[in-house]
Amino acid sequence: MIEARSRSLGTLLRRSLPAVTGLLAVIADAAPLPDPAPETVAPFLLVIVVFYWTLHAPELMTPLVTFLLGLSFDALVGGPLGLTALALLLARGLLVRGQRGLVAQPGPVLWASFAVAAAAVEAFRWLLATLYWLHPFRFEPLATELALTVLAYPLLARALARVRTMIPRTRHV
Amino acid sequence: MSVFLARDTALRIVHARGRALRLFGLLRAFFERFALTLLIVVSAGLLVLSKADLKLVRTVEEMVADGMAPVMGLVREPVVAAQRLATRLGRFLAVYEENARLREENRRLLEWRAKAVRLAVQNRGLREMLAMPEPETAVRRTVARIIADSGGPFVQTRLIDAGGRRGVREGMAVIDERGLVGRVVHVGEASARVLLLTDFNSRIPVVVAGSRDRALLVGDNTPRPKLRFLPLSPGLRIGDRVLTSGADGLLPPGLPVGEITAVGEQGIVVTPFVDWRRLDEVAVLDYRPVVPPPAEGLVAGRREVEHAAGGDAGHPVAAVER
Repeated sequence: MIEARSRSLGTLLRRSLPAVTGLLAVIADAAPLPDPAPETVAPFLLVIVVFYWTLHAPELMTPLVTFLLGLSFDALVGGPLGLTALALLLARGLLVRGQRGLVAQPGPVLWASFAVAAAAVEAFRWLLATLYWLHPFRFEPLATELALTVLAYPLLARALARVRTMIPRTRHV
Repeated sequence: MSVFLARDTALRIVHARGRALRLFGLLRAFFERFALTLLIVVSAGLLVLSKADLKLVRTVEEMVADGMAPVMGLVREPVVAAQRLATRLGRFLAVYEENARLREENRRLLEWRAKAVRLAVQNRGLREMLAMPEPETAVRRTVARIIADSGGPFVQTRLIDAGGRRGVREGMAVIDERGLVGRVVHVGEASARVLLLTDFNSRIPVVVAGSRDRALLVGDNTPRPKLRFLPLSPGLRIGDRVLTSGADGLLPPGLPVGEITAVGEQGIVVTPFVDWRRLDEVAVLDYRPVVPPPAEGLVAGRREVEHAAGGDAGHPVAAVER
C-alpha cells in the first residue's frame, strides 16, 4: 500500500517536471545579470521550455500551466500582468495545430519551427506592449533577444530531452 | 422497515455522487476543450485590469514578488560571486594600469576635497551673514540587494529585497555609489520595484550644475535619457553635470544623475553616472522634505500680524497679496 502510494507520488512528481522546468526558466529569465546597459537582453528561456513541452508532452504543458508560467514571469519582472501569458497562449494556439506533424521532424526542422514560434511570441509581446503603453518600442533589443533565444534552443532542448526520459508515458521520438 | 430506509438513503447518496461525478466530468471536458480560449480571454482581461491599475492586480504582483524574493536572493548569489571573481581577476591582470588610474583619481579627489572644504567654509559664512538655517541633510538609507531584473526589452525595472517592512515607500530615490539609479514605484512587504531612470516612463526633475537650468530628465529605454522642458535659451555645455533639483518634493536635491554628453538633433543627451555592470547593491533614500505650512495657516498668521499692527484684518486675500 505504502509502496503503491510512493510510486504514484513519484509518477506525479515526474509528470510535474515540465512545469518545474518552466518555473526554473522563469527564475533564470528574471535573475539579474551583469549588463553593460540598463536594458536586459538575454535569451528568453521560458519560450524554449514552453515550446519544447508543448511539442513533446502537450498533455503535461497544458494551457493552464502555460498561463500560470506566463503570469509568474509577468509578476516577477514587473511587466503588465497577462502580457507574456497571452503571448505564450496565442503562440500555443498556432503551434498545437501542427504539433503532431512537427514532433516527428528531424532536429533542424524543429529548430526552424522554434525560430518561427519564438518570433511569433516576440511579435505578440511587441504588439501587446505597444498597445498597452501606446509607445512605439524599438525592434533592435527584441530582435537581439530573439536571435539569442534561437541560438540557445539546441542546448536547452538537449537538456530538456534528458529530463523527458524521466517522465513516464510521454512520447519519446 | 429501517433496513429499507437505510438502503434507500445509500442509493440516493450513490446517485447523487454519480451525478456530481458526471457534472465534474462534463465541466472538466468543457474546460479541457475550451481551456485555451478561456485562458486567452482571462489573460486579455488581466491586461485590461492591469492598465486600470487595480489594487487587486498590484496585490497579486506584490505577492508573487514577495514570495519569490528569497529564491531570487539565492539565485543571485552565484551570479554576483562569479561577477566579482571575474572583476578581481581582471583587476589582478591589469594591476599596473589600475594603480596608475587610482593615483590619478586620488590626485583629482584631493583637489576636489580642498575645493569642497573651501566652499563649505564660505557657504557657512554666507549662511551666518544671511541668518539662514542649515539645510536638513539627514536622509535615512536602506541598503538593498537587486534580486531580479525586468527580463525583457519593454520595461527597465529592478526588484530589490527591501520592502515596506524595512521602511521603503513609493517615490523614494534609489542610488548606487555613483549616483541616481531610479525611484521606487511598487512596494511589497519584502520587496520593492525600482523604475530605472532610463525607462521610458521615468521623469526626473533635474538641474544642470553649470548653468542652473532646470529641466526634466526623460527616459526613452536607451542607455542615455534626454533633457526636456528646458528654458528658451539654455546655457548648458557638453560635460556639464546633471543633478536632481528636488522640484517634485520626493527626491532629495543635489543627487548626481549624469553628465551631458551630446547636444544635437537627437536632443540633449545625458549619460548616467550609474555603473550598470556592477549594479548589485543599492541604497534607498528616505527623504522627507520640509513641508510648507498650509495656506490657511499662513493667512491666519498674516491676519494676526496685521491685526496686531492695526492693519485691515477683514480681507485675508488682500492681506496675502500685499
